[in-house]
Amino acid sequence: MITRLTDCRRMPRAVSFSENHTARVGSRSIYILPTGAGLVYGLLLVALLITAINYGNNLVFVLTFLLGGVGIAAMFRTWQNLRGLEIGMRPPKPVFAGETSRFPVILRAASRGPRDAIEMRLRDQPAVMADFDDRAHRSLNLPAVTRRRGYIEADCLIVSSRYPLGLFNAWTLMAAQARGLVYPAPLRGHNPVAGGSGDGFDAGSRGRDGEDFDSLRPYRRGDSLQRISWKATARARQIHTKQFGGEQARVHWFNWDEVPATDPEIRLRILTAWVLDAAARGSDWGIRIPGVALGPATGPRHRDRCLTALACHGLPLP
Amino acid sequence: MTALLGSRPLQPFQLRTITLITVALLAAHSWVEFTLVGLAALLTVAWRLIRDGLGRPAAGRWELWLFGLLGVAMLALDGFGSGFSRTAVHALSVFAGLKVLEMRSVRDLYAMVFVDCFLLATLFLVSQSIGMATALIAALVLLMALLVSANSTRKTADWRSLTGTAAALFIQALPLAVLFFVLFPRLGGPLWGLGLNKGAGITGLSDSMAPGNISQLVQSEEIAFRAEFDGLPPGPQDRYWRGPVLWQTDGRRWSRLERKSRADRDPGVLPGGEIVEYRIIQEPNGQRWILALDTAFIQPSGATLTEDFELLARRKIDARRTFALRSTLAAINARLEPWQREAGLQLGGGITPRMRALVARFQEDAADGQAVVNRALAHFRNQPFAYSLSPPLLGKNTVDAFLFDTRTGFCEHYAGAFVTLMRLAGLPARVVTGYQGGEINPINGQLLVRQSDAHAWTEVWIDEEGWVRVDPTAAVAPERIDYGLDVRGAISAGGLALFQVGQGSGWQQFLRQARWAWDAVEMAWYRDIVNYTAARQQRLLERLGLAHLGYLTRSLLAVAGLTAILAITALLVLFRRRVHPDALKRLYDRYCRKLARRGLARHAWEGPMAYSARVNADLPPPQAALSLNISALFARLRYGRTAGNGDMKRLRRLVRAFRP
Repeated sequence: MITRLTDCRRMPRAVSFSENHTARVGSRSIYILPTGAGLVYGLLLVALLITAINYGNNLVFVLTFLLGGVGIAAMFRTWQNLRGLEIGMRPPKPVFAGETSRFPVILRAASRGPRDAIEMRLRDQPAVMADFDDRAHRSLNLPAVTRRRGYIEADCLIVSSRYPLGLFNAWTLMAAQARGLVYPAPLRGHNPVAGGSGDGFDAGSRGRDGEDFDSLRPYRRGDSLQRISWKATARARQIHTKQFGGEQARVHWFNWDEVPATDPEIRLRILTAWVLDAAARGSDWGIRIPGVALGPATGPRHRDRCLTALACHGLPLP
Repeated sequence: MTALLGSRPLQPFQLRTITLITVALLAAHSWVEFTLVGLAALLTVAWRLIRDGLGRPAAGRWELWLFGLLGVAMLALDGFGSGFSRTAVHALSVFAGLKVLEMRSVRDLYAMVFVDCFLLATLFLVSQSIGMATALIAALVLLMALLVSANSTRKTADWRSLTGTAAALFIQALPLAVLFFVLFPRLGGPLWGLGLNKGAGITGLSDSMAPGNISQLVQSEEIAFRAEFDGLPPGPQDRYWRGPVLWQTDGRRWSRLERKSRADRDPGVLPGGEIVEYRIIQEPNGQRWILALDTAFIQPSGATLTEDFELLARRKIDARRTFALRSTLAAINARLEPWQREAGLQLGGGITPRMRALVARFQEDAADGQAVVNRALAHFRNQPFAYSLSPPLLGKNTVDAFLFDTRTGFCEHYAGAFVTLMRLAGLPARVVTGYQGGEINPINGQLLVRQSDAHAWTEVWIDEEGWVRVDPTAAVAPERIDYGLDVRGAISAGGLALFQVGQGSGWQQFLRQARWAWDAVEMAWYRDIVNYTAARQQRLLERLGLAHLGYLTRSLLAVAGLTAILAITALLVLFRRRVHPDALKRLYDRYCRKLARRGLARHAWEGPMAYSARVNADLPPPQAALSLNISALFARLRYGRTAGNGDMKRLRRLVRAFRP
């Protein structure tokens, strides 16, 4: 039963996020139940009550009823810790499979009162604790361990708290719609073979500095910042990029069929490694995979577009 | 508690605090009654402290076994026969000690807090004074503060905020606690056997008296008992409170005769005598004497009236108890039994010819017994007798030395000597010990009688009159009867007792007032909380007009009250005031709302400039320019260093003009 209550899919009262990606925890969407410690506390109260009745000792009655009242006051405090909390979540930056994606979250209070020890986590992911005053914002990152490439959804955010006494656990479920991209984990160790239209690596054509400087050309969007010739730029008042010998003809094409693997996932991982290496080198490259052909171009933006295509390959559109 | 949360390690300050509290509770138990088990538990905790000091707090398994066996051994040594409850408390102490030894994680902290709560409750079973209650409630708040610290994300111990949070919980718990305390039914007796009440130390009168006993008792200012009268309290000269009656003497020490207790016979009250109805609230003294006003003639339930008109409770008084009594201030027309005549004339050793000569002088031409008594009293009054707390030591023939050599003594000397003289004169006489006097607490009208009012006087059998009270002290020091003895003055004097007449310096007045106020508070505490019996509950409900409710109705009422309190608390939580942003934020919020109405709501993480850059693409140029200005101005006012008053006004104008 407890798992059902913490399962976003089954709970109809999960709070949904509005269009500007914030949601507020309302009173109706907070569940509260005693914890194990809370149940033992209840037993303690029963034992104290029996002691008080048996000995007719009024001070033990006072103790029992005070502790009972404290338990109920704690329940209210725990409930109120969550109520009126506003949570904003935005999509995380893309990561590689196996790394931890971080969903940025902002906490804000719509009603007065400090919030302590609020625990937030995505379903099946590690938890993060936070506390803040009602006047401030609080930003934190919710970790989500990624395993496969593609999308990672923050479809179920569980916000809970046991403050102050740990006797009650209050929680609420939020259906966030933030989605993050997970690139395939690069698999190194396979060099692309020579072949295709003018592609293929040459060990000598790597590197930047000690290389044959060929010519200048005007800056194209996507050119690596490391290839900019600052002297020429200062002279001509226009950004020029250096170009190195033999580069013009050297466009690396990474083809799906030429990947030395059979499993499509492995193929994607190898292609990812190639793209990363090409981007680091600053050379032009293009990729051709079933359904998508990108390039030839260079630069971080081209790299990201290629990685996105590799990550989303074969997956249905969200 | 999830496994992850429960196994978090404890921080040093948490360990220290819980250990200290547990030590304090165990020590309090040991102080009340020292047991080997308590000692074992304290040793276990001490071992933990030693380990902490050495820097290796984690106790090994063999140590737990060792201390566990030690505890069980002590438990066996103390004996299981002292009752289930006491054994249970001892076992709990052992468990508490062991738990402290192996305490490591948050889960252990919770266990310790719960065990300490129970140990706390058992302390209430032995003492219900205000002091104990205050100390234990404070300990309880500390325990709850520890639980708060276990659930808080702050690393260091901010005691102020922790105890503040815990105290706030307790204050919120008060209405509920009061409601249930008042309405919860009180059963008459226990559900099972007791065995936890311990005897307080024996203070007060005993069933024998030797010179020096009472003068020693008199030095304590402790309250012996309190009396509440339905009408006016009796005057000082009638405030004699009867305790043990002593017949037998060996020349120095006087002791009580063990006789059959009185059956219900005709008390023989003289008609027309004034009858006083009152209640005695007796402090625990570990004895069975109920000090009734001289002379009690009706045996209340749970007590026995002896032939000497002593009042004995059925069990030792080891907790404060209230007795409703009736006494008569007139004499009781009793008969002189043969054994009483014999005992009343018994003489111990130490009778000298001087004493016989003195008595002969009393008897010369005396008309009757009363005349002899008067002559003896005159002798005491006219001769240089003195009244002192620390008289010179008396030699072998105690009475003789007192009468002729030292002539200084306290009430026990006078009483003993007087009875001896009367017996020599052939008049049966006996020593009565008890209390004399008492001060009225003007705040609540109770009569407070302290140990310093302990007294010994005599009763002489006069034919045709019965047992007549004769207080030889009155002959010597009448002020002592009328105004009360200021023991402090007497002690400081060292020699003769000084008598203070009611007033005194301003400081003494203040002290007296303070004492009365405190006594009134303590009595109110006792009556309304500690002694809140079923009878008192009934009276309170009568006063509230709810007396005729059965248990069912009363429990429904309690549930209704509980629901009401919960509802009020819920409303208070629900309608918490919203956070009022400042004026600048409000202006900016208005701007954002206008845009939101157009479907361009601001994301939570967007800064003002980023937001305006995003929306400006969808706005007509004049509005886009306005939007840029508003955002820039807001950013400067909010995050920039300089801001002028005119800027706010300009912002307000801009926002008002903004129409996306």
